[in-house]
Amino acid sequence: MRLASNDDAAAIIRRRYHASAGSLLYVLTTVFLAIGAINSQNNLLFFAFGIAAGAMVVSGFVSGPALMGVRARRDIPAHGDVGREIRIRYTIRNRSRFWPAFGLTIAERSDGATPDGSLGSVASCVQHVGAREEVRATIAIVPRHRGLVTLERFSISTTFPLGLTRKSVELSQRATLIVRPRTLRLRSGILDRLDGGLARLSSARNIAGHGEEIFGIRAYTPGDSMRSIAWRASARVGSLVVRQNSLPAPARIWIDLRPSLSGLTPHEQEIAVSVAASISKLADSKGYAVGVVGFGSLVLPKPGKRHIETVLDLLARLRISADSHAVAPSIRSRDAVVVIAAEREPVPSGALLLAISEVNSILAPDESLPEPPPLPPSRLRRALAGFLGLSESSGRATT
Amino acid sequence: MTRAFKPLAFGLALLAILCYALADGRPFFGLIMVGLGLIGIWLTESRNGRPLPRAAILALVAIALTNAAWSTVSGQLSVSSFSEFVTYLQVIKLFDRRRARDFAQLLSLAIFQLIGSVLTSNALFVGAIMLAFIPLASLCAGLLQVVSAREASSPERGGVARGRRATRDILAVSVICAVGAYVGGAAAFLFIPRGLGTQRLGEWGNANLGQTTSFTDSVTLGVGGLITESQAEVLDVEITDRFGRNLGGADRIFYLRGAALERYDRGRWTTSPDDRATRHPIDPDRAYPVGGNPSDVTHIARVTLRNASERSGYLFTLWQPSRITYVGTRGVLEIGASGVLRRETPPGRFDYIAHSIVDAGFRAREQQQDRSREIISARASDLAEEILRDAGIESNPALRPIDQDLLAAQAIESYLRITYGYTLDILAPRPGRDPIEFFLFDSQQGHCEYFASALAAMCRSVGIRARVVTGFVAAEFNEGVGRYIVRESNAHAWVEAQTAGGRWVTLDATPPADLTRIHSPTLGTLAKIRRFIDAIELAWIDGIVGFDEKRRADMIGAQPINPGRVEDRMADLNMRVSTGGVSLVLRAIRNGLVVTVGLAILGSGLLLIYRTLAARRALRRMLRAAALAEPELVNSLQGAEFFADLQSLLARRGHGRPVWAGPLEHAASVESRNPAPVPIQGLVRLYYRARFGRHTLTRNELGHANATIHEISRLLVRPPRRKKSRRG
Repeated sequence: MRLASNDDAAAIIRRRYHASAGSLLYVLTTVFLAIGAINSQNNLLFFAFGIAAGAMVVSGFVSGPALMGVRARRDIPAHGDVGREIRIRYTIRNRSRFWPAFGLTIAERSDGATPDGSLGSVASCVQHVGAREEVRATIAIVPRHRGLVTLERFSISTTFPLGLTRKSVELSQRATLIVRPRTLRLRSGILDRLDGGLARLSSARNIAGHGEEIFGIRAYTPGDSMRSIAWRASARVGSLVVRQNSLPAPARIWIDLRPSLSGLTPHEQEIAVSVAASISKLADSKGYAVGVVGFGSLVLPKPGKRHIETVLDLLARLRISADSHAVAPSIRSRDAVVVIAAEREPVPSGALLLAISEVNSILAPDESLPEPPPLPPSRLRRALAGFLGLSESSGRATT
Repeated sequence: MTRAFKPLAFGLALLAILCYALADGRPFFGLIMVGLGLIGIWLTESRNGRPLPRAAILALVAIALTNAAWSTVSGQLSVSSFSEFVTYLQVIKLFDRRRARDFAQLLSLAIFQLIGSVLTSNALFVGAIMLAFIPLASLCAGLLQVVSAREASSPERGGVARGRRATRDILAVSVICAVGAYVGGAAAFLFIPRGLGTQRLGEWGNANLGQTTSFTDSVTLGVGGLITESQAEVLDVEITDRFGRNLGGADRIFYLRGAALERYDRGRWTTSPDDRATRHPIDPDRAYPVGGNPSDVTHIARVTLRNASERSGYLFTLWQPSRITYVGTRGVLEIGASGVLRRETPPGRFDYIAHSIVDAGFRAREQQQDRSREIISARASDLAEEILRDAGIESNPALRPIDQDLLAAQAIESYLRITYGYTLDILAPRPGRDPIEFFLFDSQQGHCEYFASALAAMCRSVGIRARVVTGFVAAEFNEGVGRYIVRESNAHAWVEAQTAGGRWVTLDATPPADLTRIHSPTLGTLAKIRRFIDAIELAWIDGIVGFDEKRRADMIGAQPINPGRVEDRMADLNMRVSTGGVSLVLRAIRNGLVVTVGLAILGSGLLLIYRTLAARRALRRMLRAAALAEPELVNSLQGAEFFADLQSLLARRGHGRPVWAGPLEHAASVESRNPAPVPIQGLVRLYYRARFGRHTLTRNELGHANATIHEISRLLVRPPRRKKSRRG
């Protein structure tokens, strides 16, 4: 994790000074002091004016070098889930020989994230990075939407030492993060409703492997375990032979996302995708090979942990749209099918229908559906709340 | 590190409240506000404490706003009322919630309050608090930025500032900011010309508060400050009768008059332009007649003026001077119609003898007695009439017998002496308030100038001609030499009133007990401490508060800017630049360079000292740590400071040791990169022998090591700079 060289660090795009209301107030106060001093010829006011002006100059000189030596790198996980915390880690190194950096605010630029700003406004802080020191900071975020998030720019800023201006350095380091759908806890035994239930799982493939079914016998080769020697058969054939087991063949399950889902509200569509993801995970935990079909996307059922990751990634990027082209997978007669539709609708025999209109019936008793996102407050309301100090959103402190 | 933030912010807020209250002369108000503030802090910061509800805070702010608006509407808008409003806000904020934004507001209010204090008073304590406030406010503002950055971020935090290094860093930055602010303040103080645009925007508070009053030839009421208690000797005087008998004594005081102030205009007494003076060249030992019959002389004052710093000044005599004789001095003597004597002589000590007619006085033949009424203050006039009515004296001069004028004046004098209190603090009325009315009806206490002004104003209002006289009171009699010693602190103001026959008599409304107490010599330890504090205060007032254009120009070696309108001064400046031209610019550049180079040298020296001390401290820490682990190592490492010096030298030359490289490996690397051979590895090996081989370094080895470092310093060159590659 150490920032060994500049090559690891994010590229610096630009440096900026930002004025704020506090800066304006400070400048006005300084001007007031100057006018007051000249008008009243009060020597202490002359001194106070000099102090104010001197502090302004020193503040610029101190905050500039503090950020000049700062380099940073961002490390993000490959994926995350909606509603679950993701940690983005930043490694900040201060290359300056003398100047420490204080009160660094690290913020992701929203224009670099998803268009809908699914990461929201996120920031972290580093209180102190001494000269030639390296520290780490973490932003814990909870994604609100699934999808592919591309993080491009982030900024490091500080108002230290006096809060008169905000000095920032903008950095660029491209990284992508797949936000997978929210996983819901489903009622236990929901997959038992499938025609055949768990009996489908007890099958084996016609390939030698490490299953429990006997696949056949073969001649002993050095290195074979003594336990695998079929003694009776060896006595029968006159030479050592060993038993071979067959590869287990899990039952295949298809999650079929029906076109009717495109008629739902975006929030309900997200619930549908969440149900699909939940079913996928549940089926995987039960030993099914999970495949997904719907809205122009297709993932063939395969066993294994890597495959379920692929399924979830597909669901993360799935766009539910009425104009998606249809895909017709080859569903075998023994394959289980879970149909996710908007309403009750005809399904093939043996398939399990999960209607989003009745989604509460498949959720675990202590599970609840996510609330639809609230509408953003009006600008007037935000301004009023800010003026009265009623808003809980923190502001920039200035002196 | 941030633990200190809250106490610091609260402390600054309370300090600002107290500073303003003291500056405004309302310590009780300050104590109440500080007490309320402490309650607010306790309520909000105690374990189960909570801030006041938002609605209550808003209601309190609304009340404070209403109060401020009412003050404005009722015509009391002033710096004082604004600062009072800020004080209320400050106290209300101490009951409010505690987020970074609120602390920022608290700190901003404290700064505004300090500015209000400066506008209210220029007393020493205000300046001292301001000077102390700067580094603390700088530190507090720095901590505030750290705290607010933490607050604005997500709950998951990184890089928490803890430990000695963070504390040291933030202290260092705060000191840099404070030093920068001080330098800015000093530069503005020194280099901004004075006198431009004075009072163009009206009166902003009592800007001249904090000035001292000693002997002057004008009296300005309504300007607060301090009566000087300087013990500097001004003159000594021997007072005898015409037969040479010494009249002095510890229980007797004499009034030595200097200036007579007859004209009053809006709180200011000045000399009358009608008091035409006759000028006489001074011949040593020659007597000059001033007035009266020489045979009526009752008192002879032999005065020694000590170290007169100005070429021109007043001569102090007993009323009424009849004749004056200089001793061994040349110059010019001015004799005014009102008996005021001025001199123009070389600075320094000189002596004179003043003959005076004290007991009887003489008639001002050249002046008709004027008994017209002059109303300076209507309320004061009403009061004077009431006093005379109570005393059974007619207040109307047309109806009053002329021989009752003295009785009338004495009745008013007596009333003032009995009714009003004396204080050395110069109280100041709010802007717009007549200072005499302020003294008579509001404060009811004041110093001698208020007593004298009130007496003169009231006498004039009942048709008695009166003038304010400034000078000294001779009260400190030295029995050994038979002379009075007169100090700066003996400056006094009293009244001369014209009575029957145009005779002027001396009246003093200052309570006699207070007069004796104030002007008697004070001894003892407390008095010495008080004098020491006074000396500091006088230096403050003389050097800072009273700093004017002339002294500014003297200090920076420039011509003072002439007083007058801004436009005239600009024209004057333009003319000087155009005529003085190159030399003026060169002189400005020279002065600027001197200041810049001086500051650079000072800064470099301080930085060098700091770095040297820091390196030594690091070594000491290492030794302490080593002593804890392996006590026998201490002896081995005692002399190993050379290694710290070597590391420092390498770092300065751009060969700082990376953390992953061992000292020997790094030394080999530097040697291979340097064009000339440098014996770095040998030194490192010597250090290794001491550090790991338990070898105690000998004196010769240490000497050799230091010599080697000098050689390395000579031979070691900076590595070439690598070209920067721009990315992104």
